[in-house]
Amino acid sequence: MTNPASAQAAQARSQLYALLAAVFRRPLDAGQIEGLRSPEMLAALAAAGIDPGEAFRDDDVDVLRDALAVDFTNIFHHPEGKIMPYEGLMLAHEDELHGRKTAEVERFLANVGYRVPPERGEMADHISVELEFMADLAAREAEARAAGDEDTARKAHEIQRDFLDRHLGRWAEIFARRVAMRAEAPFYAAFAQAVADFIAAEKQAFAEEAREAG
Amino acid sequence: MKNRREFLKLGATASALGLVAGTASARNGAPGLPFKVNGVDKNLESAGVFEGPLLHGGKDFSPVTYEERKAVPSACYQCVTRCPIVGYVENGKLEKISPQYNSIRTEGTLCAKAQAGVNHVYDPDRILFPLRRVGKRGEGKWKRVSWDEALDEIAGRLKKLRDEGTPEKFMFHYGRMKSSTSKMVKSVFLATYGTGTIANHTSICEGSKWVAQELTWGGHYDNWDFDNTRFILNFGSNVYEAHTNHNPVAHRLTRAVVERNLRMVTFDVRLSNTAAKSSEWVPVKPGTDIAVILAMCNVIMSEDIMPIEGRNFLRFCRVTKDVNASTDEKIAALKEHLKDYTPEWAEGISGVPAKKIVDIARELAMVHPAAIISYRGAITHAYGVETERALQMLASITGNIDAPGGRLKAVGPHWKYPKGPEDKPHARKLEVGNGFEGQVAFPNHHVSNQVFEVIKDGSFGRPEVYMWYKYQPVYSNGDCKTNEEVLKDETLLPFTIAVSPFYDESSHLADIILPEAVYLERWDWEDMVSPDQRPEYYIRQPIVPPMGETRDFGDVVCDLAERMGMPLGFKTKEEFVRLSCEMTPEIKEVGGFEYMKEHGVYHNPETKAAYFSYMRPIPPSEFAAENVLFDERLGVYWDWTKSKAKSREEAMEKGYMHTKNAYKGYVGQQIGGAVYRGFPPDKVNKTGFMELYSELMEEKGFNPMPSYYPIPEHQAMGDDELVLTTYKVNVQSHSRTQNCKWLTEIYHTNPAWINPETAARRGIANGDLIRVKSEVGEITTRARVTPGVVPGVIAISNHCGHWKYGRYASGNATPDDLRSDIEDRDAHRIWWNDDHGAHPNWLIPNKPDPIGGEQRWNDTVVTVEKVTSA
Repeated sequence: MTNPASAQAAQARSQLYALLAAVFRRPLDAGQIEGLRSPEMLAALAAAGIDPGEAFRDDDVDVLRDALAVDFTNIFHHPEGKIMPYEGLMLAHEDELHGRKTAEVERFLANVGYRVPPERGEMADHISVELEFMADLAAREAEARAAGDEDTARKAHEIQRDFLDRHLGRWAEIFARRVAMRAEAPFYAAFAQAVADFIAAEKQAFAEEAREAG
Repeated sequence: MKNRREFLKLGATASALGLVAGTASARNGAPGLPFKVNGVDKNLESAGVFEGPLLHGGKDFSPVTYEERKAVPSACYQCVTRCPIVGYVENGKLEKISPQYNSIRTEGTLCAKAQAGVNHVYDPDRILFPLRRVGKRGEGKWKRVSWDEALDEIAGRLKKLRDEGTPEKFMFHYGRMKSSTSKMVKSVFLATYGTGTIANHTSICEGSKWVAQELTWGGHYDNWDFDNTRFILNFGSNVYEAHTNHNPVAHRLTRAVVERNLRMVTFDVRLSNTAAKSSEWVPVKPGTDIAVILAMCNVIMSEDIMPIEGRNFLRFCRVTKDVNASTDEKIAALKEHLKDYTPEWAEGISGVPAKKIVDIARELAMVHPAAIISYRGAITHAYGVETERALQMLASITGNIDAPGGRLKAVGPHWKYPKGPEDKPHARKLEVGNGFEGQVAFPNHHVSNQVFEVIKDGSFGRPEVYMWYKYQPVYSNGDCKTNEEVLKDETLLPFTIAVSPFYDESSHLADIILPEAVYLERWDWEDMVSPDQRPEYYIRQPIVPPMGETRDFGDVVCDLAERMGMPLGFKTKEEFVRLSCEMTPEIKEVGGFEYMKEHGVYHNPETKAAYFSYMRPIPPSEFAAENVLFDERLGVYWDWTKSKAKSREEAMEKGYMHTKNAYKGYVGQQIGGAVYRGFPPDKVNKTGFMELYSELMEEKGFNPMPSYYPIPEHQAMGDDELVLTTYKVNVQSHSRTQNCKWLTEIYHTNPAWINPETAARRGIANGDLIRVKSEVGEITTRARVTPGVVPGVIAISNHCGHWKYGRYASGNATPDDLRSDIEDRDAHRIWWNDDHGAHPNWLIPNKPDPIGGEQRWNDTVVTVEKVTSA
């Protein structure tokens, strides 16, 4: 049976995961910045308790893009100070890229039919890939619910719960803390905190579901 | 926060605004996570007990799933040896590097450095995206930029210089660039662009050894025939630990010693592992090996014990100005030249007892064949060229040149490759690469250790764009302080570009860092020489795809050329390698590119080992060809059209020796009544003889025969002064392997070796903190008091003391504030983090050998004192 409410919720969750993935995948371009600071978006951000800072609202877009790119580089790419937004390096304290945790996440993805295309040059346990994976699963859940395919929707939903339990849910908070320590402007710290808060809310919702179920 | 409902509204708003079209990746034009055909993860389901036979090489298996890993043949690049390898890949990850069992060079062996290449790929501190400096140069503030942004800026600057008619203001400085990358970058890209302002790193490597060989038998490399020799006489080569063909020759030496009890005598200032594994270690004072070598020549000639092989070989040697001298005249000339170089004289200079010199000289004359070998311990001094020339003399008079078991002219494969556009401009260049005027007699391989000082001086102009590739100018040259100052100074070098996978001491001072894929992610054809005298063709191919946005520099130069409107005729390194395979007859015949991708290596099993190449007769069809001239005085046949002569008349008037680039037209050497291939010249217009008498040296004001010239600084040393010597160990290359955690865990600090007698005079005990000072700098390190180094010397290895280059090499990676707040087990795992050793190059001035231009690594005079206060 079709469940429009759940479909809508899954769709919104997917969109938020995708937004957060985009923010942490690479420095934002001018179009993304303009969209993010449109009045509607600023209102939605405020309602969600995310304060990207005054400069984000007021600065010239080119100046802002450059400043955000510098901050992004300083946080994630600085050769001698970066934090490593990978589950393996951040949570499991691995000491190399593409370590065991990366392989674990790859296996998780492969088990449900996903892989990161090699040409993207990204590892499966990067924060933005994990967020993007959740976005895609939630989108599939939404599609399935809209189509009345409850079996697929339930599976997609369960995989999300499982992935949060085993992977993303375990390190989103550490990620936020580390970004906050490294970020110079409020933008990335605020969004990293949003990742942590949203994931915490997600975990809680899944836990409640589990309690209700049984 | 904030409840989940608000979050979901945020997602919906973002979507409505088009901020999240599908997935984030799709929005950026890159593919999203594809939904592949669903299935069960085989790796989880197929676990079972592997019941196959034990296999020796060529295969590897996952210890978790027992499935066979994908094997990819490729080539190492941890050092210049570039051994063929096989990489094993499991789930897209390079898990292991093994030897290539089909290689005739390595015979299925590999060193530790090669196996640790895995660490480069997964180094958490490697640079994955192009970076543009923000703030002051060297301040350490960066912005991630796209390749388009980076290359547009670089191409814009380069195009402007070219359009203004000053392409020479683009300076390219490379280090370990060889084979197909060298051809693509230097012979095609830079030549098409039009700059000749190109510097290399040979003068900090082995420039003087090569110059000496060019003055005697022509081009490098030399190969040492350990498989067939009966005796090895070694001057300053730590061959078990480091060599330009390390693993291929070292494993053969091991085999010869173990299976045949091969005798080896090693002269060295230090009890290296090679000296320790030799039959005999003969300590010698720094830079005085040449005295011992000349005295050995003296013994052999004055005692008339020259073996018959040596006497016969003299026919192919030039020993006097007259190329037609008889063998007896040559012997007389040798005796005359050597008469004052007695063993007693040599003892006074080298500290080696005269009797020892006599005994070994006699042994060398008796035991045939013998391999007489050398490397930087003996050569990297003032007049190091003379040490190598003297060795060529010793090997010649004992008949050990290019004969089985001796010192051989090395052979390598001859790849054909695309040459790019035909209409290349005449290159313009700034004369900043050959040192100051008159400083070096034969800068055949440039004097790149002087580049920064010449640029600072400014007399020869300065580049506006300085790009370096696979090179570490700050760390790898002497006088690090000056290197840092010059590279940092925007008035001297307005724009700097580093092409590097890693953040090292030099890329720290770049304006743009182009992140290169590491060698295990790249293409190349390879061509290092073979120790068994048969050429081996091999390729490097990506074992795994480049990580992040890193790119093969070969692809980058194609891209840059396109952006400047000068396409090279190929778009990628892979295409260049594929075309080369199709153009090279031997490879095309066996299956070309596809064969090489599958097998990695190829040698023709019908090819016989190359010895006595100099004895090949030249047919009249070659030496009597139309454009070939005969230089009667020198007996050289040469094709004047390949030289810089403008006319036949000009060529005849100037003669072979004084026509620029005449050596390029060399055809053969008349010896007696016949014409032989002889020893073809390279870089200089020598004859086709083995030139023990060099008219070229004579014209530069040196003795034409190998001679002893004292090292100036060592002649008037004070009682408190020592000579600094540097060396390499088996698990590190000079500067580029310290980010490999497996290697650096083994070797990360380098206490200074000092003799007990020398230490006692300074009140220094083993483990004490000491300060070492020279005219250009000072370092603090620990003393290792050992009789394994001669008195009056302090020995410090090259590899340590990085102050950049990531967490394993220097400890610089994750800032302290992150470490203190969050428990970071990584920090504890790098247990050596409080001691990364000391870098001796801070102490060593950039001074070249006045003949060959080699950096004088082992001549520096220092003082050493115990550090008494904290």
